[in-house]
Amino acid sequence: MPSDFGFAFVGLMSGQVGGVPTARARQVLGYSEVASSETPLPVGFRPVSLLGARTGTLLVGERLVGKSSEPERLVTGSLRYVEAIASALPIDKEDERIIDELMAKRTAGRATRPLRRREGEPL
Amino acid sequence: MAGEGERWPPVYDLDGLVDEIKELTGDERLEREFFGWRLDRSVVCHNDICQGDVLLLDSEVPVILDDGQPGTVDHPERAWMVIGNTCDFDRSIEHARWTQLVPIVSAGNLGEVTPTELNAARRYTQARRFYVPPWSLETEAQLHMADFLLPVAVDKRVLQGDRRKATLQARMGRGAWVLLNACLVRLLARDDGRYDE
Repeated sequence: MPSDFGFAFVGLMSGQVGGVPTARARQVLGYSEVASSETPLPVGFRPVSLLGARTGTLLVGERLVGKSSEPERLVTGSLRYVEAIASALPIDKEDERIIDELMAKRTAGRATRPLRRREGEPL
Repeated sequence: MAGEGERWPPVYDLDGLVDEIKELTGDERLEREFFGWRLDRSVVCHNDICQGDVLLLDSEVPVILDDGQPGTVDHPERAWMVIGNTCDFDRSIEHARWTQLVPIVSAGNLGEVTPTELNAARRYTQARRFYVPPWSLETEAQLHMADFLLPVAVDKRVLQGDRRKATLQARMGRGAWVLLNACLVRLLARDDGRYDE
């Protein structure tokens, strides 16, 4: 479930950086935000929607080992998105075989026609 | 409710999207509510175009044939689905001239299709085609699939504006569109089995 809580950075007496739970605004991506931007990415695919809801552990980790680059974050977010889609929409190989056979059977008789030939080539 | 200029209310985070997809594929209402708008049930016409729209366009399917030359494949249904992003239609022709369609193909009369075949289509468990419920009285007796393997680039002016040649037939509801978008991602990101055990 999505969380409405994040972590705020605090300095510990040990000199390390820690995090305490704190309420935060929920990450919301409006369709209009995508429609009005120049990005061709579909809804949910923008890095901000994928990486905005990082956990406190990750945030603290970034403080300790450094932030990842934007391409790294994009790839990480994209992979997470694809993995999530794959888990929600599993492929059934038997269903694919059935539909492939059905479509092949129904479309086998459809004619193909050349549009043109290069000059000098026989039709 | 969607605000002005928005097609649908905001999509929440990834977890919410995944939960929504799981609910959609197991929900019998999806097929009944697949289209939020149908031409044959409305007197209101739309002039804009969105991803997932079903169109009638009198064109065969352009392809490259086995000799490397351009050709066409018969497409008697003349039905197409828009898979290009909706935001492409907000851009000028100079910046984004092309969008993408896939043909919607009849896989046969429902009386000829076996229950096994029909269930395989309706479960959305196969990546290469996308089951499209009937969008008009004329299509109610047939099983239709959008064929993701035959994408076609089309000049946007064919679909909208004064020179348009296509007729909008139906527009998806939000649930169907979320499912279509996820199926497109699944198609493009599917693995090739090289790491299968």
